[in-house]
Amino acid sequence: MTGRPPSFHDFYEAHYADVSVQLYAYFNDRHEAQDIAQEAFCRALARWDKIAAYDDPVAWVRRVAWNLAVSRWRRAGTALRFLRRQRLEEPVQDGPAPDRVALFAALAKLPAAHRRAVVLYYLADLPVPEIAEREQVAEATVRSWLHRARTALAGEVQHD
Amino acid sequence: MTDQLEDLFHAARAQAVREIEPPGAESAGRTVRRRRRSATAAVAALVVLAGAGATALLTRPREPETITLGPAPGAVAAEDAGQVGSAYARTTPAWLGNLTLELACTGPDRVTLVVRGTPAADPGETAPAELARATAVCGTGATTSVFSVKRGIAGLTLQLSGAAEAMFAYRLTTDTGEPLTETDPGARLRPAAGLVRSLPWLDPGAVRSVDQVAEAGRYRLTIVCTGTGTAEIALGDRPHRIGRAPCAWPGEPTVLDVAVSQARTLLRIEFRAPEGATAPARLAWTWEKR
Repeated sequence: MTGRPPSFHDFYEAHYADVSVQLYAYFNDRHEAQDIAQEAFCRALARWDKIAAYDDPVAWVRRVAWNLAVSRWRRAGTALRFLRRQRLEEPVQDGPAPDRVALFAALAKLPAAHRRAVVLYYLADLPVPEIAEREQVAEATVRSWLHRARTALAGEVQHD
Repeated sequence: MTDQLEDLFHAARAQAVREIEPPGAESAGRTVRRRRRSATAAVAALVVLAGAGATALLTRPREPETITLGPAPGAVAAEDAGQVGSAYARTTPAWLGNLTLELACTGPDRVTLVVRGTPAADPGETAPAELARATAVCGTGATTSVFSVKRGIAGLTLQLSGAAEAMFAYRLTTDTGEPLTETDPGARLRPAAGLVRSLPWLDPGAVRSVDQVAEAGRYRLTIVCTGTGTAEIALGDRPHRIGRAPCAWPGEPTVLDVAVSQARTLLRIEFRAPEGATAPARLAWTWEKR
């Protein structure tokens, strides 16, 4: 990264939606996805001076978000339930698009590791080696997960 | 299918992004500021608590040292320890004989313990009599007061006075070992055994000719001695010893097989107490002709 570090505001505007969508695809629950993404960005802001100097600050946020997503802390849900209580009522939205519903529903049927691999690969655009590092498995394992996931998704989406 | 899947994800991402409602960077800023304030308040609270704790440790009165009274010189009749407070008073059963009162204290000034005896006769009508008083200067070790209670006491009252925040420890020990819970030794004799005869309190060393056997013959003499020591039993003008009844609190019956050779033989009782003992004894007995 060269030049002035980005402001947190610009960083947030540029990446919040992407991180949220990745989590949305993983949980198939938009509220949970947004809560976790917001928590990850809050943690980034708390140490923004340091994180802003990283080559890829969003990688840090994504890592935190995914860690939160799979951690026991997240499953306990205490903090998120608190955040949810603080959330303002949102306007009623149009119904979700059929493609998104079908794909996310199909993702929900995958094993969690396969689902994470697919989401990180297709939505976060992470390469296989980076996914393998994040999941602490061999790259071949990630490729195997992706292959199986693609096969399963193809059957589900075509079936639908 | 791979290309088709990529298209599906691309379309889904575009659709999902439209559903996302970002709370906003300002919301994240508010959350972080609130957390920092909470953390600061928590740290401040910890600092205040730590300071208060340190202040309390530095300014609180020194914890009174544990008060030890050493080995008990006799059977413990009463003991207690704690803060003097206000209006401390305790009662115990009656204890006769030599009583040793030990008192120690820590804290300010001195503490006084007064022992009063409640008269057995007309209790409530006669004011308790002071039997002993001990005053301990706090922090200087135990003070000891020995006193004797001989008779006529139904119970003891121990009353403490001194600075309320002072800590005390006292112990009352007795050489008789047991409280006087039953003053009438005749109650230990079987009612059907015959006429119960009894003596008022006998001091240690006292010798009394207490009865006269009307007829010669063989008798069963049952005798009860309440006290500490022994009752030596003898018969005749020129007394010859026929037996011994150990004394206890309360007394237990002792049965003696007695041959009386002539009418109007005198029964003589001598109460022997341990050396230095002052507690009196009471006796009761019955005769049964065999």
